[in-house]
Amino acid sequence: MVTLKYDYTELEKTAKPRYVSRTVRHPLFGYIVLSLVLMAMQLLFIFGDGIIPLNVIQAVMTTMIYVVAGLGVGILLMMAGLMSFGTGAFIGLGTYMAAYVLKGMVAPYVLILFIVAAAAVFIGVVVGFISLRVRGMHLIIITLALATVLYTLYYLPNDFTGGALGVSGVPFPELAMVIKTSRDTIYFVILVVMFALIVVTMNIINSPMGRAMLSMSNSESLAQAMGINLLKYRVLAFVIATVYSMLSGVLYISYMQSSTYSTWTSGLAMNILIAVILGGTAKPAGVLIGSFVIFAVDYAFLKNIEFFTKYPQASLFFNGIVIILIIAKYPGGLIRLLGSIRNGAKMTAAKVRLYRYGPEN
Amino acid sequence: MSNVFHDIVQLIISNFHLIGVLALTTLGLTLTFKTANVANFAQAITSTIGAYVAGALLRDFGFGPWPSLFIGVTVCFVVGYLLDAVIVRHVGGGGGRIMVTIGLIVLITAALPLIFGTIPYNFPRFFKGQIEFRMFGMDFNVTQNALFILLASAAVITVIFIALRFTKWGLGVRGTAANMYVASMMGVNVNQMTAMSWAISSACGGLAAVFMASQTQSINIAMLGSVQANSLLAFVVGGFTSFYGPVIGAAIIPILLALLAYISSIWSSALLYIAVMLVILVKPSGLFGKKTVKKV
Amino acid sequence: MAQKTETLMSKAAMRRIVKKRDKAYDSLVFNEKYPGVAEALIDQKQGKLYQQRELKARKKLLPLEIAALPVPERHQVLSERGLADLRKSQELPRRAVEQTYQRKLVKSGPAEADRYRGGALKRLDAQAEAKAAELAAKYSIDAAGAADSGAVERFSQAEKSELAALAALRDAQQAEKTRRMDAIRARIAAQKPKLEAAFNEANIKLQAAAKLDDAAFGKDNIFSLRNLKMYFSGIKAVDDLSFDIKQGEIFGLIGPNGAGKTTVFNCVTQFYKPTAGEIFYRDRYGGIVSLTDYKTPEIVKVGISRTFQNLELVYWLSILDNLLVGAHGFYRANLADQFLHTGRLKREEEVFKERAIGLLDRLGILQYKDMPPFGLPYGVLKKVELARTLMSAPRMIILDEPAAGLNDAETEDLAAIIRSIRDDYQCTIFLVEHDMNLVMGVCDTVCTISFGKMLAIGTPEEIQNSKVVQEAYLGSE
Repeated sequence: MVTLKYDYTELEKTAKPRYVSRTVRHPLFGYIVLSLVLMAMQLLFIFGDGIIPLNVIQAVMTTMIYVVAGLGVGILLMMAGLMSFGTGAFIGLGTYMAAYVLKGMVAPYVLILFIVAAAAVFIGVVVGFISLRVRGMHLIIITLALATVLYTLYYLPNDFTGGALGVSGVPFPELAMVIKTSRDTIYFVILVVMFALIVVTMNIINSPMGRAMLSMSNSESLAQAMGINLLKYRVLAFVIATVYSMLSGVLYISYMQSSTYSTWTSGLAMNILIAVILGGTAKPAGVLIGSFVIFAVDYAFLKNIEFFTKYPQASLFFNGIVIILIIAKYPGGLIRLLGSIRNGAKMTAAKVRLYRYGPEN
Repeated sequence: MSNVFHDIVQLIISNFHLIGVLALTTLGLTLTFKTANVANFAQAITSTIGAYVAGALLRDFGFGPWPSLFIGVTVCFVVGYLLDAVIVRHVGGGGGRIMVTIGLIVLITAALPLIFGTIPYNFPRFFKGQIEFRMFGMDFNVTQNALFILLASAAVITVIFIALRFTKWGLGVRGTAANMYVASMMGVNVNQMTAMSWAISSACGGLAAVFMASQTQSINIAMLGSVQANSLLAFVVGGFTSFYGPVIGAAIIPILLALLAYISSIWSSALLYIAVMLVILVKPSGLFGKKTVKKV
Repeated sequence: MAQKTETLMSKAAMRRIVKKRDKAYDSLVFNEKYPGVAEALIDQKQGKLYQQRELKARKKLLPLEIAALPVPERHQVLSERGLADLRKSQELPRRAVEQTYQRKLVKSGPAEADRYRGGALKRLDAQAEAKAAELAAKYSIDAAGAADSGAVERFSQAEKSELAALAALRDAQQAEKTRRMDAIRARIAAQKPKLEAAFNEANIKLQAAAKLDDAAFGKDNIFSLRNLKMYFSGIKAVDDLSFDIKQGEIFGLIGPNGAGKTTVFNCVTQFYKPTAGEIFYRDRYGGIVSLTDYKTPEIVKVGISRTFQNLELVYWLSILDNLLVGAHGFYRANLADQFLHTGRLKREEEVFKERAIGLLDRLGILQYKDMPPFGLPYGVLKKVELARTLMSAPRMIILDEPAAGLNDAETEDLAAIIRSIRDDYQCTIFLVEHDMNLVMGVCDTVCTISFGKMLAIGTPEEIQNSKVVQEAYLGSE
């Protein structure tokens, strides 16, 4: 028997380089791929002359705008366990504020985002303090009441919201005072903001504050015993949700160029809540999938089918069925459903292997 | 001064039907909340089914208003029962159940126009007359229909309260409301109680919807939109630890609304919501609710 | 009693100073632990990289080495490797044949099954034989000849260069490690005097403001309850209760149902604000503090950590993350750090994760670290709760009915763990329990209360023999 000095059978077991799997398993990998795909889609739309229909791009755009709000709602609902019906009204507030700034002066886009975010922090703190006093049902009703009050304020005649007519003709924003955006390029701005917020959301989920919010929604006495200040994290959850919502409003006005009060109902808040619940998790993946089902499928695909153009209610009807089925049968949401499908596939493969080759020894 | 007083009282009196409708809806909301532990956001839209059925019977099948009312309410009863038995019972957790009711809003809002078409139905008033009377030396008037709705709602609510107090079903519901697990341990069929509560609550809603239809003489998908919101407000303002609190809340809200409408008609709903928010913040357990002590 | 009556500063001012001191202290603790953790992490990362490089080098060198062997050996090695490859490639087909044979045995009887297996194996064997023959022909053992000098030359050259590269890598890694560790140590050393000064300044202020001096508190004591009263709208849940707990003691509080045991706990952890009375405690810096000055979330920072009667774990987090929740109050990373996951947060996470893994390992439940608590055995979850209390490096642990829901074997296990925790982590243990076996077996001192009043206090033997206690438990005759 010849012994070889450089035999690597043993070493191979411990030192296999795993560049590929490490990249694929990086928590942000999927989101980066998705962003690149979305970017490619828009480039195809601009240069590709009709390969991508306009309604698909519009649906994607709307979804991205509401995903931003949905991420905040996801943190509020899925991490801190607080339900708010105020999201729609806050998005509206964001649009009006951004419209006011965009119409009044030429300001860098980042500055607008910051101004609106600062206002959102203030509002979030107020709502958060209210939330400390009331719980459960009461809190839901309070947010509903707040949403209705804001809705009424938008509707009443005034200069800020334009009353029943709303604001319109808002110019596209200028980036860094130099680059003028257009209906085509604003898509990239929205994509970048969404991606940045996805990263921040992932960070929140995987940090002490994310764990603190989860423990708080699990048991307040536990949270307090572990040194978690309930006031701080309740307020924080509301601040995050409000900031995200109002930023979503800024994105909305930058794309749509107009905003009317009738959009900012608690119905919109419900739709976003449903999107988050459908996703079933605070993780951006869940919010993305849920929002896509709620906001995009109808507009991007079903509109092209004759049956749905004949009965416009039908798509809503199927939406309702999907929502109820998912909540009743898969409380973990679509993400869990996809996960269990993946697990099912893995298990089937294992079963086939067992059938063919027998048990490993 | 007396003029102001007259106007306000007249506003309240012409809102009589609203008090009845709101009280019925809120009682329904309370029943489902106490037994199934869910705030039924779909209460109003489920009730609208009853109104649509009644309207369709009246227009397309030649039924009279009274049989239509009866059948509409019965359909609501069955729908309520099925909603619990088929869907809500199988959903765990309060948050999930609330979302299911929101899903139901989406579903029913889409389904009703698919089934009944998009043209609004009409519904006649049960009583066509107008009552004029003198009170505090001033003239007031009220439609017979509104008065009838108020009285009929009061009667129905009284019957339900008597049933809650004195029948076996009532005992079961109260037991389930107090503690579902203990109740089921003591031999109460909790599922049955909950399903019956859904059915009765939905029937109350159906009744309210037809009443509303008969007062406004039209049926459309959004007819109970504000009623849903207001009944939720009444529900928390009254305090949902008891059964009577929300009903009193439901009586207060329209009166408050009339007062606020006198101050400013466009601001009235915003002011109402602000008032409710203040009440909840000052007294989170509601006006007539008891405070619950949490155990660590 | 030499109790100081005047308070020298307001509660708010005191809290501010406490926060400052705690932050300085936490930083000092972190700085002490971080270099070790960082070094281990660097070692791990560098080791992995080195191994990968080594693997690459070996993959390159092995064929050259074989080529440089004298002919007989070379042939032997090559044919051996060829045969090994063949065996490996035939492994799965053979298993499939065996599996099919088993199925056929049931379905179509032994004769048919044997026929199938015979045929299939014959085919595989024939294949193997052919391959072996081919190898034998190609690499005949009889062939003689010395090693090819060119190949030897190539091999030795390649070997030299690869070994040099590996050595260079090792040196570079060593240098990199030294550089980084030096930077870390330098930063820590620079911070140290400032932190110590801040800590001392705050600590002196706080000790001056202490309501009680060491003598009045008792030198050996860690905890003292003085005339504690807790009334719930007329019901006297705890009525004038006083006792001391010595440092390093296992103290048991027992009593019949409704005696107010858990109320005492909740008063200590400030879930309830006592109606009257004082609760003194020696904090982790040796100062004596009055717990009623603090808010509920601050108690864990004073050095008291608790478990709950019914398990309170976060079911959406893994076991490891559940432990990290226990360290929540000790993170110094601010919100911006957390939103952006800066290095500061990552470094802290590393340190706490290391501590959590150490604790899990110590309690023998490391294999569950990445699982959520769903469906894990009750005993394991109890241990997770214990580990979580230890995450905050407490000086006193409060256990609320730790043996509830455990069987006898698990209870005995728990008693051993409680004792070892006391010894290993220098903790004082204060427990409320129904299970007399556990209390009598593990406690140094037992206090019995009934209807909020003290009945007896003493060693387990004294309590067992006490007439008053027996009456309270069994009723007087």
